[in-house]
Amino acid sequence: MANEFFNHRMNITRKHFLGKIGLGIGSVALGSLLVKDLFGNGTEESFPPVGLPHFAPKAKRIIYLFQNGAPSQLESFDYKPQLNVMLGQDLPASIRMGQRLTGMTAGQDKFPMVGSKFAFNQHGQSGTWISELFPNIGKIADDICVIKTMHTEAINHDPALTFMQTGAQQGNRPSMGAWMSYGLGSENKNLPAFCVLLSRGKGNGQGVYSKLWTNGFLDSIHQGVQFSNSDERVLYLNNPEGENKMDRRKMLDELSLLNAMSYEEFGDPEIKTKVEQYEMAYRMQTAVPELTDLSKESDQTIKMYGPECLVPGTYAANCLLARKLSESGVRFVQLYHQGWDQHGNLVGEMPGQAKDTDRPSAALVMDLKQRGLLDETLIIWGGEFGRTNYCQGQLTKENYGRDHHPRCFCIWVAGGGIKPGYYGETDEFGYNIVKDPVHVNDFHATILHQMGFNHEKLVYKHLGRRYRLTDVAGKVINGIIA
Amino acid sequence: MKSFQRISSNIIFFIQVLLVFLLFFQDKVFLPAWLQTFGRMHPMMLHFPIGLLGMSFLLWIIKKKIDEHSFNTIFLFSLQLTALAASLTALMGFFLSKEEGYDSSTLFVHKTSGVLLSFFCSALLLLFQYFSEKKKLFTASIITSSVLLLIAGDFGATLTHGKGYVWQPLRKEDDTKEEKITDSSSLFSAAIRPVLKTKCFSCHNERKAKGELIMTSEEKIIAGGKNGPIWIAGDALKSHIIQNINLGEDEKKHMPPKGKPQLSPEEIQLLYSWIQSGADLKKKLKDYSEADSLKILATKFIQLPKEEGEQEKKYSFAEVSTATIEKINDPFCDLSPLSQKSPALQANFFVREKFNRKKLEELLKVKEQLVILDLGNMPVTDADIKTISKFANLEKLILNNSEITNNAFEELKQLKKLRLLSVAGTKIDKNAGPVIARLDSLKEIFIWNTKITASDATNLQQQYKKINFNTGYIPDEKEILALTPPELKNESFVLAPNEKVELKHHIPGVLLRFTTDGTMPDSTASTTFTSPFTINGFTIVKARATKAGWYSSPVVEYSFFQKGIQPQKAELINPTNERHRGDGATTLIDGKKGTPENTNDEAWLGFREQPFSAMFYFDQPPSVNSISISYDINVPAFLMPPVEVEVWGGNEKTKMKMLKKINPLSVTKEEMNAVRVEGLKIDIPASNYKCYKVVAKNILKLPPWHPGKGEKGWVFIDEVFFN
Repeated sequence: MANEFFNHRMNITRKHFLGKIGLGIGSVALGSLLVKDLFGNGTEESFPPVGLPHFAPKAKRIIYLFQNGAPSQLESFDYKPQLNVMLGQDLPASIRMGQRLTGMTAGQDKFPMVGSKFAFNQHGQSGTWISELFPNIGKIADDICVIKTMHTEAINHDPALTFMQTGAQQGNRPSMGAWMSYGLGSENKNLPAFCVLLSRGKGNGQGVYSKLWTNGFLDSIHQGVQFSNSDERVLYLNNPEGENKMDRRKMLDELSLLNAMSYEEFGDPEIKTKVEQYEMAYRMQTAVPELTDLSKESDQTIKMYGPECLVPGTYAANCLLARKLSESGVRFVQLYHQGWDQHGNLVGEMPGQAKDTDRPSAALVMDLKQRGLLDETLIIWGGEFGRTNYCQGQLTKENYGRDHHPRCFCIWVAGGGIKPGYYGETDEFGYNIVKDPVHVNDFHATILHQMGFNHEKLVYKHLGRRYRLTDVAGKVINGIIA
Repeated sequence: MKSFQRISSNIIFFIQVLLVFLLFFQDKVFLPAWLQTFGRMHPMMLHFPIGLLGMSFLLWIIKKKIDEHSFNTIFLFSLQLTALAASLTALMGFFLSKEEGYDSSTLFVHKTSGVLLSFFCSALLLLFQYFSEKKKLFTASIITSSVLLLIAGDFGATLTHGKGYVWQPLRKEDDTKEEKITDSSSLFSAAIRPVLKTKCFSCHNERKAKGELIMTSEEKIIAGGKNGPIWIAGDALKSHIIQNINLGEDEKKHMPPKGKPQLSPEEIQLLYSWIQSGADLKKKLKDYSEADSLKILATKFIQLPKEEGEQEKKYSFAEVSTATIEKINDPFCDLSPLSQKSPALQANFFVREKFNRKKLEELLKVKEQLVILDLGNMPVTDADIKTISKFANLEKLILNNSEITNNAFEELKQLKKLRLLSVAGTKIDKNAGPVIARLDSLKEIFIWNTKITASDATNLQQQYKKINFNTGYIPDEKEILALTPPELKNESFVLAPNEKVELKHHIPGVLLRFTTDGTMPDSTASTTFTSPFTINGFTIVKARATKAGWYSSPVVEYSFFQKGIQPQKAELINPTNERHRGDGATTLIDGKKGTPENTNDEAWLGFREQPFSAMFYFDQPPSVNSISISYDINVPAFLMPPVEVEVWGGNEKTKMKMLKKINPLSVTKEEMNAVRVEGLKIDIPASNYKCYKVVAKNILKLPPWHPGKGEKGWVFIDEVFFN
C-alpha cells in the first residue's frame, strides 16, 4: 500500500516535469550571466588605460646603446682570471653541458679555453671589475649596474637581436621603443617618441634592419624614426626651395580636410595617424634644427664625448644627439653600433670598438647626471648575447676569436632608479650562471617596472589575444633596483 | 495558500539549482556591483533561517499537543518559510563570499555547512510533503539541520568577529596582536617569529605547551621547556631546537613531529644563522648591513611593503580634472600626472623659440599639484622665477641653460619642498652660495658649466654640507685627445676646370694644414687651409687638423684628378676580364670614380689575363702635356699597381709612336693590407695628336710576401685623364 502511495507521488505529469525543467534551465541561465567565460568568451579582465604609467615611475625616458654583434663579456665586464690559468685547455664537457654550437664552431674538435688578453681593474665603491679597454666607463662605475648574468635563448645574431628588442625571436612584434611610445605617449609633441640612430664600427659587423624598430601590430605612430647620418639628420624635413612656411601650413590644412573626408568614408584609423604624422613633421621643422645644431656645444662637451662627437654618423655624435633628444623629451632613443662580432682577430678589433664606444657612453651618463636628469633617464649598454670562453679558429699567442654564447653575457644599466654595482655571478669559466640569472624577459619586465608599468598589464589585443613585451614570462629583478 | 506553496516551492527549487550551478563555477564567477549589495544583506537575512528552523524544530517536538490538521497546515507553512529563507541566505552568502578578505579555511566550512543547511531545509519540506509517514527519518533530518545551523553559525561568527569571539570573554589574554612589519621591526619579529608561528605554535602555546615549552611570547621562548633553553646564542649546533629539527623524521624527538608540516631547508638555514649570529631578539632590520648573510636570508621571508601601490608617494592635495590638464597642454608644454594613481603633476617645456611665458603663468591653475617642472633650455629669466616660486609643492626644478642669475635663488626660498635644482649652463657664480644654502629642503644642486669654478664648488661643498653640489664633468688638463682628421667638402675626386679643393672640420677653431707635394703635412710649418685652392693635374692632398690643447689629427690623403680634355671616344685593344667589364671602354672617360673596397663597382675595369691597353680619340687635336691614370690598390684582393706604363701618340691608329714609358713604384710588404685609389701622372713632351694609346701591364708574379705569391696580379683602372 505504502508502495503504491509512493508510486503515485513519483508519477509527476509531463506538464509538471517540463515546468520544473524550464525553471531549472532558467535558473542555470541566470547563473550563467555571472560566469562570463563559461563558453570561452574570456573574462574582460580589467587593464589600465594606456598613456600614463600604472604607478609613479623611476625613469621617464630610455636611451638604449645597443652594441650590435655581441661584445665579448670576457674582455669587458666579466673578469675570469681562471681562463688565463687554463689557457689552451679543452673546455670540460661537464661545463659545456651539451650547449648547442653555431655552424661556425660545430666542426671544431677542440674547444681551447682562452682568457682575456686585456687586464682588468676594480672600480668604484662596489669594486666592479672592468677591463682596461673601457677606462672611461671605469670612471662612472658608481653610476652603473653591471648585470653579469644576462642570458638569452637565441644563438644567432638576427633572432637574438630581435628577441632583445621585441621580446620574440621571430620579428613582427613591436620593439621596446614602440611599447614605450604606446604606453606613455609622446612627451614632446614636436618630435617622434621613438628615435633610432645608427653607427658603424671598424670591427666585423652585423646588419641592423628596420624590423628592429618596428611598431609591429601597434599603431604606426609608434614606429621608430631613423635619423640620417648625413649633415641633415632628418631627411626631407626642409621645405623644398621656393615653398615657405605659410604655403606649407595652407597645404597641410587643405590636406587634412581631404583626409577627414576620407576618414569619414572608410573609418581607417591609419588615416588619423597619417594626419598626426604630418602635423608632427610640420612642428619638427622648428624643433629639429634646434636639436641637431651641434655648433654651439662647448669645448668641455666636445672633450667629454671626444672629438668625433661632431662628425655625423659616429657613435660619439649619436651619443651626443641621444642626450639632446632625450633631454627634449624623446621617450626612447635607440642607438645601434655595429662591429662587435669578433669570431676571429678579437685582439685586433676589440680595442678599436672599445675606443669608439667607451668615452661617448661614459660621457652620456655623466652629461645627463650633471644636468640633473640621470635620475629620470635609464641608460642601457649591451649586445644581444655573449661570446664563448673558448677560442674559435686558430688560438695563437697573439690572437684568438670567440663564437656566440647565449648562456651568459653582460649588460650595464645606469640612472632611472637603478642600484649601482653589479648583479649576478657566473662560474669561474665564464660559461654558466651560478647565481641570480636574468633572462631577457626578466630584463624587459624590470625596464618596464622602472618606467612605471606592471609588465603584465601593458597589453595590446591582436589576433584574438593580448600581447605583452614580455609575452607570457618575465619577473621583475628587484636586485638591481635602488 | 496553494498558490503560495506552488510559488515558494518553485522559488526554492530555482535557487537550489542556481546554487549548485554557481558552486560548480565558483572560480569564474564575476559579480556586478548590485549583486554585491544583495550579497551584503546576508548577515541580515541569516537571522530568518535561524529563527524559522528553531520554530520548526519546536513545532516538531510539540506536535502531539496540536490537532493534526492544524499542525500539518502550520508546520508545512513553517517549513516552507524555513527552506525559502535558508536558500535565499545561502545564495546571498555565496555572493558575499566572492568579496575578498575572508579567511579561506573558515570560509570553506561556513560555506559548505550553509549550503548543506539550505539543501537540508528543502529536503525537510519534501520529506514532510511526500513521505510524511517516515517520521524517524524526518526527526533525524531536522536534528542534522539544527547541528548544521550551529556549525554554520559559529564559523560565520568567526568570519565577522574573529576567532573565538563568543568564548573570548571567558579566556585569558592570548596572542599579542600582529605588528606591522617595517624597517624598524626586529629581525626576530619580522622573519623568525612568522616561521615559528606556522610550524611550532600549534603545539607550543599557552594552552597546549607540549614539553612545557611555550613559544608564543618572547619571555617564555627564552625560558625554554622541560629540557631548558631551546637555543644557545652563538652555537646553533648545540641548540636543542636545531638538534631536534635536524634529527631524522622517524626519530621520536624530531621536530616538528612526523605528519606535521615540516620546516623547509631555507627556514632551517634562517633559524641556524640567526642563532649562530647571537639569537638577538631585539636587533632591528635596518641595523643589519645589506651584505649581512642573515639579512639576505631573512629578506626572503619578509614581506616588506614593496608593492606597486606602496611605492606611490602619497600627496595630500586634491586631484585636478583631466579637462584642466588637457586645456593647459599644448605641443610646447606637456603637463601630465606622475601616474594613473597620482594627483601630482609634472610639466616640461619644449622648443626654445616657442617658449611662452603665459603658459608658465597658466600653470598656476595647478600650482598646488605641480611637483616637477622642467624648463631646461628655455629662456627663463629672473622675472619668471616669481611665477615659479608660487608652485608650493615643487620638488624638482630644471633650469639648465636658462637666463637666470644669482638673484633667482632669493625667490626660490619660498619653495619649501624643493629637493633637486639644476642650473647647469647658467650665469650664476659662487656668490649664490649663501642663498642656495638657505633653500631649506634642497638636497642636490647641479652647477655644471656655470661660473662656479671647481675650487669654488669645493669651498661651497665644505661650507654647506647638507646640499650636494654636483659639478659634473671637469676636463682633465693632463688628458690630451687627438683631433679627428679634416674632411672634404668636395663631392667628387674628379675636379672640373677651375673647381677648387675645400677642406672642412667640425670643431671650431682648428687649423687645417696640408701639402700637395706628397710630403707629410707638418703641424707647425705646412700651409694652413684658409680658402679653397686649385690643383694642377693628379694631386695627392695630405692634410691634418691641429689645435692648441689637442694632439694633431692623423693625416688624411685625398687623390684628386682634373677633368682635363675630354676624348670623344675610347676603345679597348685588349679585352677586360669578363667579370670586371664595367660599361666597356667608355667607363674610362665617364668621370665616375670607383671605391677602392668594392671591386665589383661598375666604375672599374679589371685586367689579369692580358695587360690594359686602350686607345683614345680626339676630334680636334688637343694640346696634352700629361696623362693621369687612376687605378685601385687592394693588396688583399690581388689588385696591384701596374708594373709598366706606356703612352703612345699618333694621328692614326696604325701610325703611333711611343712617347713615354715608366715603371711605377710597386707596393711593399708593409702595405700588405693597403686598400686605396692611387693616381699616376705621366708627364709627356707637349704634343697634339689625334690618338693616344695607354698601356698598363699587370704584375705577372706576386711578390713572395703576398699570400698569393707567384700568381698573376690584377690591374684595375677606372679613369684616364688628359691634361
